[in-house]
Amino acid sequence: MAAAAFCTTTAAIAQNLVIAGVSAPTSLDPDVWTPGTIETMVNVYEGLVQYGYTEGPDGTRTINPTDIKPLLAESWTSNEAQTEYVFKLRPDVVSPYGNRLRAQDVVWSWNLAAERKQTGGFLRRTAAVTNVEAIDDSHVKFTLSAPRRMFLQILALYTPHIIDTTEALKHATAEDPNALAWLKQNTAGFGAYHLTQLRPGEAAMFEVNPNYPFEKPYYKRVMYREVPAPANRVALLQGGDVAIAEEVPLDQIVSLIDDKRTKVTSVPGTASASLRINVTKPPFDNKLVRQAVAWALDYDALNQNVFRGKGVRARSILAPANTGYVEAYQYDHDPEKAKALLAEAGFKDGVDITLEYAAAWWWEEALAIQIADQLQKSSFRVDLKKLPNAEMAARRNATERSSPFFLHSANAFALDPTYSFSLQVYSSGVGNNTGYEKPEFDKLVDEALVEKDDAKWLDLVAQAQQMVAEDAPVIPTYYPGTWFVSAPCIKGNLWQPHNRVMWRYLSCAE
Amino acid sequence: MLLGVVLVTFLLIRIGTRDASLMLAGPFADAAMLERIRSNLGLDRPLYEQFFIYVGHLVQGDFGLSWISGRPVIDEIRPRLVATMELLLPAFAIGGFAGASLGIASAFRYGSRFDHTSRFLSLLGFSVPTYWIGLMAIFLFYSVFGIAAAPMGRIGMASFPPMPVTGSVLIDGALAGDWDVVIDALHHLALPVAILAVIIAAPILKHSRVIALDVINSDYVSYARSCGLPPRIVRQIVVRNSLAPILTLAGSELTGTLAAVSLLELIFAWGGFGQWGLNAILSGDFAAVQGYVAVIALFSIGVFLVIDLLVLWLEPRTRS
Repeated sequence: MAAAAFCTTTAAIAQNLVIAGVSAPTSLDPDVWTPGTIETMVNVYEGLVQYGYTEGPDGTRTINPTDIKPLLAESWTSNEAQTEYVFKLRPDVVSPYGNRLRAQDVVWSWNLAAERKQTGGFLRRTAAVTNVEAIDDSHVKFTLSAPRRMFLQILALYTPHIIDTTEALKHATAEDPNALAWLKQNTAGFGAYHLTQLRPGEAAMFEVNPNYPFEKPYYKRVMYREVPAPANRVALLQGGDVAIAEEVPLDQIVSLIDDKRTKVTSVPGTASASLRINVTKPPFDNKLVRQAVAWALDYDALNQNVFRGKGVRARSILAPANTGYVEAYQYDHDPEKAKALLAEAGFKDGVDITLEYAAAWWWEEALAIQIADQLQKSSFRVDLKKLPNAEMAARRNATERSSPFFLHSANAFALDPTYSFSLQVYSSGVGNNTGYEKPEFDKLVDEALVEKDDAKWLDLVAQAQQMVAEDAPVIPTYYPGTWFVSAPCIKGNLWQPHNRVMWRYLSCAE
Repeated sequence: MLLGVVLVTFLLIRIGTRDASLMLAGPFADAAMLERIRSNLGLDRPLYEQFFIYVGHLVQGDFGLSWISGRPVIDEIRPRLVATMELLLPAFAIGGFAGASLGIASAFRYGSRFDHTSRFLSLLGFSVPTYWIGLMAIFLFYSVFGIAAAPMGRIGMASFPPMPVTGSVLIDGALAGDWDVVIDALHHLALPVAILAVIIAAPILKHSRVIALDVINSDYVSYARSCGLPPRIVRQIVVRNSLAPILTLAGSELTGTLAAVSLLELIFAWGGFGQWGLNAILSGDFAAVQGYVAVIALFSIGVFLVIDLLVLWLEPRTRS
């Protein structure tokens, strides 16, 4: 039985990684955003390529978004126009079921993503992939409708997930020809780990893929344990019962920084805590009102009161890790300027607005309350409205877009500016929950998507950031950071844009 | 009654909450995909049609599929319900007995230090939030004193789960003769059971005291005393006549605690029915929520039936 793997001898425990997470995965489908799913599936499904990284003298690893290295594919070529790529698959990539990776697996998986039109389908469209075909058993050809700088970065992601179709399709039925029901409760990837046992509501157990052709991970087994209470995740880490505590609130992290029983590291990450303004709903259809909001915020106070002084100020719709990042947002705390802008917009006696929020992120409620209070001092009369998570998720989703003014955090899976632009503020972006539609901005993005000259590309990216900052449909505040809270011996963590921990990089320095 | 509960739950969640389609679709799905998912889930049909389809399956024992996990709801409920009962029943037995005993004893010692102390403890048990008491207990007994088991489920990682027979780790371990597992399971049960017992005992203590006082001050007990019956016999009369209302109250507490135990399950990562139900509500997993409420209703019906039968047996007067 898989639980036998977690026996109690010191040597065995040394190679068993126990993680306390918010939720054990309820579904193993990487395209579905249920709690615990992506946290685990990034370790099961790997891409054709991966990010290169550098290692500092203290062992800290940092990815290099422009350095893409082979992974499941050993090499690739592209045509002059960068619209056709041919990947040669490694011959020694074998799934836990003993099936070699074939080109047909890649083709089937990418076509399934296109059909399902969920996260994998979105990434395929964003990468402008129009066709994926097998040239032979070990060569796959991707055809793009236009060159895309972000194409290789998207191939480094866990989705569209490459499935061992030889195994998966054994479980297909007439009603379920793609074996999706089986794939929801089982894994069939070519990555470093595979699922051995799923105890719903309790834990998921993983073991190293015995056929993994790369350097064998230090941790042979991983138990991803559901521990809903953050205080308990911390207590378990301090007690030595788990090696990693995920999703620890920042106010608890601050007290752990000097705790010798834990190790805390962080990166800014790619997800800023931002205000989103629905530009189709009055009074926010007036740019001056949006700018007034941006000037009304006391950013330093927000950092101290919400992010415990640990936040990194967000001065662009892009994350700092993006090549081409510029500090486009030059708004600072100036209530008088905010009032003047409101008066210019025709609201010299103030204006009534509603700020909606939920509890999707740990900082959301505190930030909403602080922002409402600050806005009141600049003649905004704010009605603060708390909604259940599911309700708020629907209202801020781009398909409904019914919330006028709300908080949001969007994580960019690719460190390419055009990815974030296309997702968040391009007029037809699937993540455009502000209703921002500006042909001039779309034109900048369209040009940047295909521009091969670096200098011209950087200029286009800078202009796009400045335009969004000026129009302010999004007002980013701070990057709360991606925090890695672990036992002191854990080392080697390599932050990835998907913001989840990749177990194969970890080891314990005993 | 069950049909009424099913109908009200069905309507409330469909009218009052968002469904899980957005979570299933992910944030990058377009509107067409979202609609396709909703159609696959049957949410594009008229409400009455959805209800009749659901009831039609329900009477055949089919609670539907969990949208989040894709598994039948009944398969999600069964192991989790056992996990919850493993926690709830011992806590109820301990808390109910302790609460009733202390309540009756307080009534006999009305106005004494014992009476005041037990009333104060009852008030504490009422007032302190479950979540807080759970976290404080973990902090004290696990983090500080190091005597409690890690709040991470029903057994520790060092123990193999026994072959499932009943689903209860404690019972299955005993059946398998694996006493290490039994001891580990007991160790993990100790703290949450103790906390739950306190929460259950508090209201039972308070109300048992009032019930017993009413009986003590009744005419027939006064008559018994005035006839010179020994105190031991008077106590028996009081206890016997208090039992029926106390049992009825305890039954009520038990049914209410089934829903309330979810917070403790969250804190102790128990993997129980309540924790699952809470997650289903927050996720908008309609079939799971309906199954959760239906099971609570069925449990309540079962408990009240048993209580009624017990009262019938205890109280000969009710038989006529």
